[in-house]
Order: sequence, then structure tokens, then C-alpha cells
Amino acid sequence: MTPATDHELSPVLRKQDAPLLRVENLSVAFHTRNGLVRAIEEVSFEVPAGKVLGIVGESGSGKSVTALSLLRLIPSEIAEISSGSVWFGGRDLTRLSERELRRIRGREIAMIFQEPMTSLNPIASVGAQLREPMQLHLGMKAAEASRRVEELLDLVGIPQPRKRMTQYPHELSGGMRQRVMIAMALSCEPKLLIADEPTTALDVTTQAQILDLLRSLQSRLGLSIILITHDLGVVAQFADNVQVMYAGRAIEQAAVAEIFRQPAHPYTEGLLKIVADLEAECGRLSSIEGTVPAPHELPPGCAFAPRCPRSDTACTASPPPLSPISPGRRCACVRPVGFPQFRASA
Amino acid sequence: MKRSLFGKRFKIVLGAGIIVAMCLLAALAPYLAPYDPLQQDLLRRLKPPFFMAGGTAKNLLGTDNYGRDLLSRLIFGTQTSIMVGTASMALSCILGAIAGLIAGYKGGRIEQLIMRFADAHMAFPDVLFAIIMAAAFGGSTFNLILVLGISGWMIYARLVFGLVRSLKHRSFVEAAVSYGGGDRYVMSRHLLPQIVPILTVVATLQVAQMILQEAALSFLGLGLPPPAPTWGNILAEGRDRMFGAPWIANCAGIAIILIVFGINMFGNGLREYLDPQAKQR
Repeated sequence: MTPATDHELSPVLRKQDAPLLRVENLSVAFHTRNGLVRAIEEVSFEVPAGKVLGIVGESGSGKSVTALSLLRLIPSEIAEISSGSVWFGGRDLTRLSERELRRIRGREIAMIFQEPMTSLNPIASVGAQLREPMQLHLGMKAAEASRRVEELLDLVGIPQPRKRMTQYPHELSGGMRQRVMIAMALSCEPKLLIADEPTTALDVTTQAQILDLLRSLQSRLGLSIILITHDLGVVAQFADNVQVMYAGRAIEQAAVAEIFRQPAHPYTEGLLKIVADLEAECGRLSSIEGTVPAPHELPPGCAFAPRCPRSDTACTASPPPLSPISPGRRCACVRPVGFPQFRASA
Repeated sequence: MKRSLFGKRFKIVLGAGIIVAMCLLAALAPYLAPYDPLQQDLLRRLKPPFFMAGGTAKNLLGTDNYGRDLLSRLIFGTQTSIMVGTASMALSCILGAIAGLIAGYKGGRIEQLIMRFADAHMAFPDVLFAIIMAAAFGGSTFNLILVLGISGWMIYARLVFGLVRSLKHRSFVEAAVSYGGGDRYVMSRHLLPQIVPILTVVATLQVAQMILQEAALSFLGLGLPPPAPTWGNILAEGRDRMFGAPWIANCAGIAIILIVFGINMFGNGLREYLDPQAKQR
């Protein structure tokens, strides 16, 4: 049932070349009226230090749940991590106490959310909010934190930081607020930044600016980033590695260049075809027939099989595991596109 | 300026005026009251106020059954009313806000425990609770505040609970958790400040309720024991002589009505002033 991981050694022994974050077989289940419903199933990935991992998928594919689960940000009465581990700095985040985890949130792993319009407290000034993580984690005094806030606002490209600090969120535009959120996320110099659709709520020109900012900060500060998005264009510009998710499972993992050169999973191929059509500007746009199945009515086999042009009887037996198809590349498909030599032993 | 004074903020100005006057009376009671409120003068019992036949300027509002000066007793009664009213409001507000914050933010079993307890308490008559307390510990200002404070917490708990439930899913609260905010931090720095305006209005109106309750308990003999000059006691003493000496009960009644009216005016004015929707009208 477990996809073969290349790392069988304990995380302690592998410390030197261990990735910054390693997620192993993470499953998250939501409590619903009909019992537990699996939202993500057996997801494994890693983020090397200084690299950007893009997680791509449609709405409901489990990409946001994955991101939130890393820091256990989904309240336990709503969802629980039913199995798996999240290794970060030699510790399994799924086993830490709430108190220990609070010391990691914002300090070592920070998040940026989709909605810059509502992610700031409407009744506190920008400066006061930016100071808070530093006061919480670094024990800074207000004056010291204020100086740092000024530097941070400057870093994320907000002009007149001193004036902006005294303003309230409603006085800033969406792009400005997202810059403030980024400044807040970076304030304690985290090692890993989780950006959950950071540009979705912004207009197109602002999106490009925010992405440019994130990219320059990433290279300047040597940050690792997990970028959650449904936009393949963003991934192409920004990420080093990609994980494609579908119906709660990771179905393909590869380096960005690889996946755009030759998608292996039929679903990835479908997604890329849509992007290609948009660029070619001709005739009808292609689409993938059907919709993502709801988590409680997944088919017994591959979740994509009902929509897949290549599906056959082998696909409906059991969900294909995420298996290596070439060096550094894994795909959960019985008949991956462009890899005719590979037949998964499903 | 004149228009704004008597226009939009008329209620606040009027209410605040009455409240300030009452507070001054309470604070300066020893200097303003013409007599000691407990000093009896049996030769001058049941004198009517100055504006009634037989009344004199010596006792402006007349005297009661024991010849005590009614005006002095009313002035000193203001102290008890305001102190008990505000202190019990503060107690129930603090208890209720904390309970509501925790129940709304934590959810799950803690929420069930707190809110079901509040429901059960709602069904429990306050007067019965007051009788038990009075029987067990006797009547004192402190006990009165305790009784009233404890019997009023559910209103705040329900209010705060509802508000927190809707606030806690706002992104900025989730963001605060994501950068390492603990429960206490999120509740005190992000949730409570959002609630304070609404809480202020309810708390203000609640003072009037508490003053009424205090008067009711004193009237029933469950408040401060008789010689103490409280409005409820004066009312209770006046009840027996409603026809012979109506001014006793009436004066206490008018005092209660006046302060409750003033507080309600102020509270309602405040609500309209703080409510962004009402401003457009």
C-alpha cells in the first residue's frame, strides 16, 4: 500500500543530506455526518533546502488540506491526521504537542494565505500586526520590533514604510496587503514558507508583481517554499519541482522542466493541453470531461479512470501507487503517457 | 454644534447627563444629604414633602415611618444602587465574556460543557438563588454583588459565544494561529477587541437591569438588611403606607425610574452611535 520511498534510513542518520521537510504517507480524514472521509491519502513528498515545490491541483484535490495539515492548522474536531509523519528539523510535526508546534509556526515555517483582504485584523494597525510574530517568537520589545518592521516593509517593496506602519488594513490595496502578509511571514526568518494560492485573489498585474517579489526573496534569503496553486503558469515560472494532486492523492512528482517536456500522468497531460490551447488561441478550448469525484464516492481503482481517455480494466481494480518511472520522477498511473516501457505492477 | 447636541447624540447626552448627576449624588452623598440617613426622629414621622399640605422645607421630600429624612435616604441609596449595579455588571460581564470566548473559540466538549451549563442556569430562577445566598451568608453589599453578578453571566456568555463563533473562521484569526499565536493570545488580542463595542452597549444596558434587580431583591428583603438606605428598602417600607404616606414609595420609585431611564437612553444612544448601519439613516 505504501509507495516505495527512496529513504529507508531513519531521519537522524540521514541528517546531513536530509531535505528540509519530508512528508511521509500523510493521510488526513475529515469528520462528517457520514463518518470519516479521507481528504488526502498517503501523500509523500519532500522539500530540499532552498528549493520551491509547487503543488498543483483542481479545487478539492486536497492541496490546501495538505498545506494546512503540515502545521496541523485544521482544528482536531474538524479533521485529523490519520496516518503519516511530517519530518522537519529532525522532528515529526504530527507528534509534537500544541505548545511545541506553536514555536515552529511562524518561527520556522510561515504561511501566506489566499485572501489578503481578510487575513489582516481590521482593527489593528499594520505596524502593530507585523510586530506581533516577532514579539511572540523572538521576545522583541515594541521599539526594536518597530525598527525591524520598517526594514521588512522596505524588503517587500512597500514605499514609505514609516507611514504605512501607522495605517490600517482598509487603507491598503490588495497587492499591498499581500506584501504585508509576506513581510509578516518573513519577519522571524523562517526556513520554509507555505504559500497557499498567494496570488489567486489578486488581479493579473499584481499577481505578476507578487510572484516576482516572492521569487527574488526566495533567492536572496535562500528560502524553501511550498507553493500551492491551480495555475500551471505560476508553477512553470517559479517552482523547481512539481507535485500534481488529484482527488486527495499525489499522482505525479517531477522536476518542472521534465513535467512540461513530457507529462506522464494522463491528468497532467490534460491540464497541460488546456494551457497549450490557451496559448495557441485557436478554436474551442479543450477540457477534461467530467469533474473531480467527491471524497466519499471515489471509484475503487484510479480516481481519474472515469475521466481518463487511456483507462482500461487494469485501472479500475485498485488505485495505482506512486512509483518511480525515471530518475527523480514518480507517477501514479498504470499506463503513463510517454513512458511505454513502463508498466506498473498494479 | 447645537444641532448635533440635540440631534443625533441627544440620547447619549441626556442619558449621560442623568448618569453623571446620579454619580455625583452618590459620590458627594455625605456633603449633599441634609441629614444622617439613619437618624430617627419619632416626633417628626410621616411628614409629607414640602409641596404637599403640611410639608415643610425642613424635610424637602418628607420623612418616613421612623422620622428619617427621605431625601437623605434617597441620596445615600444612590450609592448602593450605582455601586451594586456597576460592580455586578462588571462581574457578570467578565465571567460571561471569558466563558463565551472559551466556549466559542475552543468548541467541542468545552463548548458543550459551558453552554449547556449556561442553559441550565437560565432555567434556574435568580430569586431562588438569591434566597439561598441570603440564607447561607446573610445580606451584605458584597453578597448582593456576588448574587447579581453570578446570575447575569449567561447573557454575556451567549452573546460573546455567538460573536466568537463567527469571528474565529475569519482569515485574520486563522493567520494569527498560523504564525504561532496561542489560544490566550488569539482570544485576547484578536477576538476580544472585535467584541468590545457590542459588549459595551450590552453592559451599559445591563447596569439598569442590575439596579432594578437590586431594588427588587431589597424590596423582597433579600438585599441589604432594613436600616440600610437602599431604594429597594425604601420602596418596601413605603409599601405598607402606600395610602397614608404615598410619597415614600413614590420617591423611591421615581429615583429608580430616573436612573434606569438615563442608563437605557445612554445605552441605546451608544448602540446607534456605534452601529455603522444606523449612521446612514
